[in-house]
Amino acid sequence: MRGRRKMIVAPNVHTTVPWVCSNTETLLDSVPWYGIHAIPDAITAERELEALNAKNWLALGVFAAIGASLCCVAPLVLLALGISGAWIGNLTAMEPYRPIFVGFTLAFLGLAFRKLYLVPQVCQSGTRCAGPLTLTRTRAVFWVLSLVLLALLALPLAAPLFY
Amino acid sequence: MKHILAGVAAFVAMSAAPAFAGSPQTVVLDVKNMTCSLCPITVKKSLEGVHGVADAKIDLEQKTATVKFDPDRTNAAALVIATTNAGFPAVARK
Repeated sequence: MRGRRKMIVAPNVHTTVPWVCSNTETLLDSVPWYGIHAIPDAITAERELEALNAKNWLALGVFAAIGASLCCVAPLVLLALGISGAWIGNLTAMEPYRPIFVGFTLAFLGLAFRKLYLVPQVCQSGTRCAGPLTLTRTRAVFWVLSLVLLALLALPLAAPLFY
Repeated sequence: MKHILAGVAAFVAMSAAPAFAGSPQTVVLDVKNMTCSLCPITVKKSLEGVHGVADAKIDLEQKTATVKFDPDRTNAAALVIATTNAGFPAVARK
């Protein structure tokens, strides 16, 4: 983790915890003095949040979109596949929770976007440094996935066309 | 899978030659869980997959399905089973 902090170039990367980056030298010096436990929990939580990379957020977004699709798209897909059973009634009964899943999907996609475009790329200790090629590829994956997920979420809106 | 395909094939064949053995009968089903805009499509497809169904009209507002069928080939109970197994428990109105 030490190595990671040294890699931060922009002074205002962590705007929510200014005492981390306002003076990198002070913080680095304090660790040998007080040990890792001197760092407040808030910073630890922030670091854990930051530790989730764009791919993690995208994966969460995919799961949330699947959750949003369970009630409405899934039964139609199952019917088309010839899978039937009274248990599908449990899926259709999940319709009231759909807005929550849609909200989570959009939030996770937003966080992935933030990771890919808004936050400066920081190298993490112990991991391979994300080169420009990796970043470009991840951004492409982000846009393709976003398109697919949004289309999936918007499918019920287009349903009246098929009545 | 096989019998569903057979059902679809039978339905296609039947709609091509609309000669019924008996006079068509109509039943109204109260369909549960039909709350999303895609749901009526699923319900309609499940009903149309039943042998002997001539026509299925879905009312999303009233949450009902009005089904016209050949009483010699199927009955209301079979229609209820069809929608229930597609995820939409239904009750036939008397």
